[in-house]
Order: sequence, then C-alpha cells, then structure tokens
Amino acid sequence: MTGPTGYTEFRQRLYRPRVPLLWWLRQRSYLVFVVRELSSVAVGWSVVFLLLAARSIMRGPDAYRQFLEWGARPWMVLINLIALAFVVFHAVTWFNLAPRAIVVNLRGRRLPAGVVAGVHFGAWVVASAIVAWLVVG
Amino acid sequence: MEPLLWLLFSGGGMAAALLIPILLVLFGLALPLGWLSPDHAHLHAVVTNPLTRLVLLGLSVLALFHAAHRLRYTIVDGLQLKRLAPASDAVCYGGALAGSAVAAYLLVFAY
Amino acid sequence: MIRDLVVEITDFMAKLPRITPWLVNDHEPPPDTEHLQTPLELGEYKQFSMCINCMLCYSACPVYGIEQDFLGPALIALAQRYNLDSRDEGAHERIEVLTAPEGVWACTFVGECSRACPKGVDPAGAIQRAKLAAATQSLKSFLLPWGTR
Repeated sequence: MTGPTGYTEFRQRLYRPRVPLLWWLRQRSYLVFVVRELSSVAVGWSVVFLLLAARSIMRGPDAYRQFLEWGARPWMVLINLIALAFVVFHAVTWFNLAPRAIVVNLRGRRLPAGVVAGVHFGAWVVASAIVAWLVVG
Repeated sequence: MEPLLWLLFSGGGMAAALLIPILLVLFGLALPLGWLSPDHAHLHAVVTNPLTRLVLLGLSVLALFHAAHRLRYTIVDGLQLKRLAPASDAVCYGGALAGSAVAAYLLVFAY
Repeated sequence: MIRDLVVEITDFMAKLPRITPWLVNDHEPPPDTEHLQTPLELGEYKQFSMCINCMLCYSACPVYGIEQDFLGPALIALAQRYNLDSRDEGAHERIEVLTAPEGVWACTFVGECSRACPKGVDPAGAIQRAKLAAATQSLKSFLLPWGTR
C-alpha cells in the first residue's frame, strides 16, 4: 500500500520526512535513550571482565594476584568506573520502566507502579547484599 | 524467533541489572584497590561451587544476549544501517553465542 | 505531523484494518440488552481507548521515522484496547499482525510516544505489555503444546 515511491492507493504523495543521521542529538530525551541503549556495551564488557576474574580465581592464587594487579591499573579502574556508571544507569532505567510492562491486578485492584518498581529495587538491594556477603565471606 | 530473542533480552536485562553492579564494584574496584581482601581460598571455594557456576553461566549467557539484542537495534535504528541488517544481526547474536560458548567452557568444563 | 493542525494520516489509515479494530464476538447478547461489563473490566482497557488519532506519537517515534513498515504506537495501543476488552474474543486474530517483525518487536521503548500523547494513552506501555504477553504465549505454546489455547 505504501510502496517505495510513497504513492498510496489514495494517490497522494505520502509525507515521510527523511530522518537525519544524528536524529538522536536533536532532543535530550532521544540522547538519554541512546545512552541507555549504549549501556549494553558496558554490560558486554562486564561479562568479559567478570569471566576473566572467575578464570583467574580458578587458576590459583598467583593468577588471581596478577588479575588484581591488572585491575588496579589506573586505566582499568577508569574503564570499570565508566562501565559501572553505565550499568547502574541501565539498572535504574530498567527498574523504573518495569511497571509499564508488568501490570498486576490483585483482588480487583491495579498494583501501583511504585510498588512494582519498589519490588525491583528491593530485589536489587537483596541480591547485591547476598553477592557481597558471599564474596567477602 | 523474535519472541525468544526478546525473552532473552528481557531476562538478560533483569539479571544484568540485579547482579552486575555489585559484581563490578567488588571485582572492578574494591578487590583490586584493596578496599576488601577476601583470601583466595575462600573465593576459589565460592567460584567452583556448582551453584555459583550455574548462576554465573546463566548471567553471562543472558547478559550477552541482552547486549547483542540492544546493539542490534541501535545499529539498525541509531545508525540507520538497516541495509546491513542480516549481517549485523548475525554478528551481534553470533558474538553472544560465541561468548556464551566461552563462558560455558570456562565455568563448566575447564576447571 | 506536517504543520500545526495539518496531519498526515494516510499511512495510519492504510494500516488500520490490519489490527482488526472492532469487537470480535460471535456470541450475540440477548435482544434489548448489550454485552455487560463491570467498571473493573472497563478499567482494563479504558486508557487505551482515549486515543484521538492526533498522530503526535507517530511524529515523536524515531523508529516510525526510520522504519517504513512499523505499525506504530497508536495502532498497537488500539489493538491492545480491543485485546483487553472483556467483550472481545479476537486476540488470536490480532496476534499475527502484532507479532510480525514490523509489529511490537520493532519498538525499542524510546517512550517518546507516551510523552507526546495529549490524552495520556501511554502507547509505550501498551506495546511493552503486548511484547510480554506475546512472548509468554509463545513460551507457553512451546513448553505445553497440548494446551487448548
């Protein structure tokens, strides 16, 4: 119906403005969206980094010490700080958006969005506490 | 296909959001910078525990597919490179698959 | 939007029939009455019925600008309006269109559509709920193929 020429069966030229390449710079909300999407790079990096950490632990105390030294280098710390910022941004935006997708009715009443989000943030705190307790011992 | 990919993206997003921040704080900052110093024997015991292996594997696979899915759409929409689509999709998910294989090898078979 | 108060709705109108935008119900209500619905049931879809077809969401959506075939926020919200209506039994008719690549999956939850909407329809929310419903239905039919639905 709306073919490549833009003509429809109604025989008028369809108004479809071309989207500029830097469309995401035009509005603050678009930019925030793209930053949110780019947090996926930080997520990918984190998986790689954490697998390297796990590997170093499994290899033995020397390998682990080498990993810690590598991780302590200034540029590594910087990379991980930036990655952490992105990952936290991902988590916060994710939990705040969850109520839009997860709609729960309890006894005929809609569960408020704040409760759904709150449950997620609560789970975040609990999960973090458990992991920290496991690691630090 | 799409529903499955979206479920992986969704699960990955949740897992990554819940677990990666604290793990990155610990292994990216606290431990290398010496703020905390659990001894290696303890860490070894925790990491080699079958449940830990399972959780780490699940986290790795899900988070990788989450990232792949998001990157795929960022390339197609953000950079408007739809003409690359079949290839860029394959690279994204292929990368996630490869990473998952490495994670599985490391966490299940290697040690 | 072309200009203030001048709106291009051709594409919307062309795609509209695809989502079956009417109540699908083979059970005729008894004569002199109508399908009954409680206020609670009304509340399930009421928000999505407030759309005035102003097309502001289509202007705000970057995916719609880039992807020619994307159904778009208002259409998917409208489909949800019927899917969530207790009087409707046509969800299975809409599911194919909604779960096509140019349906809900093209949406990346930018959220600008809901921000732009003057009636508070929240099409972004409608789309995410549709994604979740479609994905869980897919999973269920995969895991339990002998189910009756």
